[in-house]
Formats: sequence, structure tokens, C-alpha cells
Amino acid sequence: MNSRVLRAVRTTLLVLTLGFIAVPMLMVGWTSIQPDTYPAFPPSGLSLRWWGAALTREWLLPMALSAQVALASAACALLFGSAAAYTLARGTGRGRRAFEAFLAAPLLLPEIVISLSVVQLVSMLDARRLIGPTLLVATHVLIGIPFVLRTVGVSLLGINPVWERAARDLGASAWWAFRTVTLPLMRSGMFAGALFAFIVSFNNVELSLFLTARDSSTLPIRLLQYMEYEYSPTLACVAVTSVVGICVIAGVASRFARLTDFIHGESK
Amino acid sequence: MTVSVARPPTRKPARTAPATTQAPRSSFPWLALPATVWVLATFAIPTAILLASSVLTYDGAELTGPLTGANYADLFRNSYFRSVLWDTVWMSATVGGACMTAGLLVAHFLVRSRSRLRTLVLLIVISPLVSSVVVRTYGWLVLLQDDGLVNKVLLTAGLIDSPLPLVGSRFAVILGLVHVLLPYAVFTAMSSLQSVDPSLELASRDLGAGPVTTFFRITLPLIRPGLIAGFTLTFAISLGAYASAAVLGGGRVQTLATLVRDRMVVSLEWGQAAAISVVILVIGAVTVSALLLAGRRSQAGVG
Repeated sequence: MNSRVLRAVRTTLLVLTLGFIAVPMLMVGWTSIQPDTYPAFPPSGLSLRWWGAALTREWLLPMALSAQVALASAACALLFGSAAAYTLARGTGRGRRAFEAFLAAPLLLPEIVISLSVVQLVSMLDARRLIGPTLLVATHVLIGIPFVLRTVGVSLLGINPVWERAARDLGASAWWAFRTVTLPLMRSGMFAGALFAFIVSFNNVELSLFLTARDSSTLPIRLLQYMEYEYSPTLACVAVTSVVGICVIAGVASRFARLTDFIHGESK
Repeated sequence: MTVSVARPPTRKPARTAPATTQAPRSSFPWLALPATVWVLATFAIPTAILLASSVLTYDGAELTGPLTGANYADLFRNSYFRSVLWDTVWMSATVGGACMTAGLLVAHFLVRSRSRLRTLVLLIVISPLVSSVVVRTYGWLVLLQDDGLVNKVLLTAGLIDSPLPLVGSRFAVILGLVHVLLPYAVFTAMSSLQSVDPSLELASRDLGAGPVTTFFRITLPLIRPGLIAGFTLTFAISLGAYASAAVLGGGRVQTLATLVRDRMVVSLEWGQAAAISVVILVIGAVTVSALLLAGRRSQAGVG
């Protein structure tokens, strides 16, 4: 009896929490396909009237910039992160842990602080012209590396270094042994890491806060600037477009890597 | 099926010592070099300079003069700054507490339940991560409007007579932050719950304890370090979070992050901005180390 009440309470709370998580996202979707400025309840119908303003240069350009920055920074993060993960996997003990902590440190500091410190540095160096895509990529790589390090690290955990050694003993060069033995086994981690790096860059707000040039913003920054002063359902359409884009990319990537394996790794 | 995600981790056997001694020592130590240089150049050096510059004199955005404590003295003399500081701290603590409570609830279901709905629940928890913080905040902005769903529901239920001005309130900012950070809280709580042997809970139940007693006497003490770590994580992220406060605060709620942005972009007092950033860092660092210590101690108490 008592335990039945308890279970009912727990289920209710669980459903409420899940609703709390899901409702805002659903709300964004709904706002984009209904006719009212403030979505009416009960709904007054369906309409695509907000989409006209969303799919214009004003929004498509920031989206394209975000995609380019995300692509570039994911590629750099993948390269640097995988290389570091490969070396780290061979290391042991304290040095290795300290080094991992060093590379993951940017995740610990508030991004707004990193953004500010970078702006300050380039102003001191009289290099403010770097503000814009260059610095966006440079800082986004910083938070991409820890993700790649983690996912590739998880992949490498399943690889016994003796296998590569065996290939060497059988006459393969170091590079050939790596290419034919280790690299294929790392691939799944590399895909997952690159995907996470892409997503955190594409969606990033706070690192980009002081680093976007006046005439070119990334999508999240553009949305944010707009939202601080105005409210429009057009933003819902823009948001839906970007989320669908990310989902398609994640869907494609999940064909190459079992992403769920790495979400666990994330939490540790 | 992807149900395997929520299964207790089958740890791959750690590479044992003999294997390592046979393995070649890293033949390419320089492979770690690019990442190191990158982190140094775009993170370590700028932050070090930031720390240094917060004790230097600025004229607007121009660095001019010698060592000074004036930036900090100005800050802490300013009662407005002190009230923003206090607001940010208690709001972040509330966010952290709410996140871990809700996160534990969801994580408990994900780890202990055998329900087939687990995959669905996990998907719901992960789903916000594909979107930007800004998008999620926009969702809340729609919901919390005067004619938004939340006010409509409250009005219909007869709980309020006129719409509550939710946008621009601290409550809205807290709500938005909890929403953003909940997935992380769930993951942290999941990984600590997974390390609890279910047979301990079974044993407690067999010995006659109810589910509530078992949870509070057995499970909770075992996962306390994980919960503390999760709280610290969410607390520290909220301290420096900008987007939720800027949008849901509607310009009326000021936090340390919005204040930094103000000083950087609006009033161009870079010395102040640097000093406030350092305050954010210090609060974060002090909390992390204090709670880590507490966590270690409570773990020692249990073990």
C-alpha cells in the first residue's frame, strides 16, 4: 500500500521532470508552425507565415558562418585531440593524469572568462583584426579537444598496444602499423569526438560572446542579440532549422559510431 | 537496441602492468605537442594575463599604468556589485540544488528501473543537448510570456488573478539555468548510482527496511560524493552563465556574467571586467576545492 503511494509519487515527479525538459523544446517547434505572435491556447491553427522571414540572408548567413566555424574547429580539435590521445594512451601514471587535466582545464573555467581573456590578449598585441572567425575557431578548438580526447581515449582503451607491436615485429613500419592496426580501431571514437566538437562549437554562446566581429555573427550570438531586445516567432523557425541540421548530422554520424557508448564516458 | 547505454558499465579490463612494460614507450611524444601549444596559447597564457591585468591600471580599454588593487577595491566598495555578487551566488546554489534533486530522480529511474521506457527517458534527457542554450532559452521566453502557457495554466487553474510578470524575474533565470544544466546533473548522478552495488539495497530491503529508509540510509550516503561533485559542477557553470540571465532576466536581473558583459561592451571598463571575472573564478575554485574536500571526507567516513 505504502509502497504503491510511493511509486505513484515518484512516477508523477519523474513525468513532471521529463515534461520540464521536453516542453520548452516542443514549444519552440510549435511556435514556428502556428500563426500567432504569442502562441494561443487553445491553438488557433497552423501557419508557415514566420518562415518567410527566417529563411533570408539575415539568418542564413550567421548559420553558414556557424557551420564553417564548427567544421573548422571540429577538424582541428579532431587532429590535435586524437594525436594527444594516442600519445597519452601510451603514457602512464601521474604525468599522464596531469596532462589530461591540463588539456581539459578549459572546460572548467567559465567560457565568458576565457572569451574576455582572449580579447584582452589580442588588444594588448594590437591584433584586434583577428577578432571574428579566426579567434572563434581558435577558442572553439579549445573546448573541442577535451571531447575528442575523451572519446578517442575510450576507443584506445580497447586496443592492446601489443597488437601494433606485433605488426612492427612482422616488418611493418611505425606509420604502417598505426595506419592498419590502431587507426581503424580508433575511428569510432574519432567520429564521436568530432561530432561532439562540432555541436559544442555550433551551439556555443559564451566563448563567442566577445569574439564575433560586428558585421558577422555566429547564429547563437545573432539570436541572442535579437532576443535581448525583441521577441519574434521568426526566431523559432531559425532555431528549428538549426536543430534539424544538427540532428541530421548526428544521425549520419551515428551510422559510423555508436554515440551512446561515449555519452557514458562523458559523465566520468 | 540501444538499451545497453543504461546498463552498469562493463569496465573493460584496465591495461595491466605486464602489457604496459611490453608495449613500446610512446614512440611519438611530439604528437601531444599541437594540443599543448594550442591550449597554452589560447587558454593558459590569456588567463594568466587576465589574472595579472586585474591588478593593473586601465584607462577605459587601454592598459596604462602600474600595479594596483584599485579594481578590486572599487568593486567591493560598490554596494551594487555586492548585491549582484550575492544574487549570483544564491541563484547558482539554488540551480545546483534543484539540478541534483531532479537529476537524481531521473538517474535513479534510468539506472535501477527495468522498464522499457528507459531508452525514451534517456532520449528526452539528451535531447536538449542538440540545441544551443539560446534556443532552449527562447523556448522558456515563449512559455513565460504574460500570455504564455505557464500563465494561462495558472490563470485557468484559478491560482492567480492576473498574469505574473515571469520574464525578467530571478525565478525565470533559475528555471532556465536548471533546464540547461539538468542533463549534466543526470549524467553525474547516473555514474555515481551505477557504482552502487544493487545487492546492498536488496540486503537492506531483506532486513526489513522500507524503500525510503533504504534510499536514505544505504544509497544516499554511498552516492554523496558524486552528488556533491555534480552540485559543484552545476553551481560553477551557473556562476558564469550568460545567456539565460541576459534573456530571461529581461535586462532586470543582473548576474556576474551580465555585469562582465556590461563592463566590457557598454561602459568599457576593462579593468573592472577583468576583476569581476577573477571574482567568478575565485568563487568557483573555492567552492570546488571546499566541496571536493568535504566529498573526500564523507567518502572516507563511509568507506
